[in-house]
Amino acid sequence: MSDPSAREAGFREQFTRFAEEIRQVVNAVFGGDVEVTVTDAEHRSQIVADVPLTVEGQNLARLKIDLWCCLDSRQQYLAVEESTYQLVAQVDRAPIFRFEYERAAKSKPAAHLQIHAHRGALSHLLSQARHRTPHSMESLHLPVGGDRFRPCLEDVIEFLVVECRFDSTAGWHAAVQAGRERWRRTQTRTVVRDSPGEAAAALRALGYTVAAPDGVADPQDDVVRMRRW
Amino acid sequence: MVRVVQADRQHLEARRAEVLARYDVTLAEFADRAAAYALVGDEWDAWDELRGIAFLLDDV
Repeated sequence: MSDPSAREAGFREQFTRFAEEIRQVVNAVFGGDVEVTVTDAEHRSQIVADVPLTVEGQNLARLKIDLWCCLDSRQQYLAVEESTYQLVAQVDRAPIFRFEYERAAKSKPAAHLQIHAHRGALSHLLSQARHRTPHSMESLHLPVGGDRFRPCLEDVIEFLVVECRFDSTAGWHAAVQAGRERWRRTQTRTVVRDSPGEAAAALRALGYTVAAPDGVADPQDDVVRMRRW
Repeated sequence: MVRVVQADRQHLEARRAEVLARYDVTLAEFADRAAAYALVGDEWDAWDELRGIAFLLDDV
């Protein structure tokens, strides 16, 4: 797809489809009719959704979804530049936790979890270690699987339903499972593109005949990506 | 429904100015407070919005 306008149209189509998948899963799990907003700028788009979370009908929190998208380095596939799934309390309008992904992160893990909480023992420990903000637990970025194996939106949603016990619809689990399967199939294809050598070896071990493309002696694995924090 | 908003630079910059005026701070001051984990209440949403605008403007 070399025509820039066709590429842009393809990008918008991928992006709108992605937003629609998010809308369908949150509405299937939490009911209601949550609106998903796509803000479209030149070569970049943002998806935002605020999902009310209730317990026995009382609105106590919201799941805030925020994704920044652009085309990948091959100008072919939609790439998530950053994503945030955060639980925000109604009582103080501040985050409780944030699952974040930053594709260009350098000084922290690309996929990480930040927890907004306090623990005296941790503050003491970080103070002793001369941490810059020892009293802010949220300044710690807990690694959660890197670029390819990070949690998906459906993982966060299942956590909110099963462990936090927010209200959900009768059919929530099927919607979560279908979305997670879609995510993991996409990530599997991406991982194969990162490491075709490993993919070929695994397929050969299963009995498949796999041949490299003409002119390619050894599959080139993206070692940088595979080693990234 | 999925609502699609077409945003140009003028619109995004105006929105950024509006958010900053609401809190009577500059973008640098807001960024400093966020970096120090000193945001409270609605400031979190405002900071998320400012970061999103910066991404759309390619100012990140």
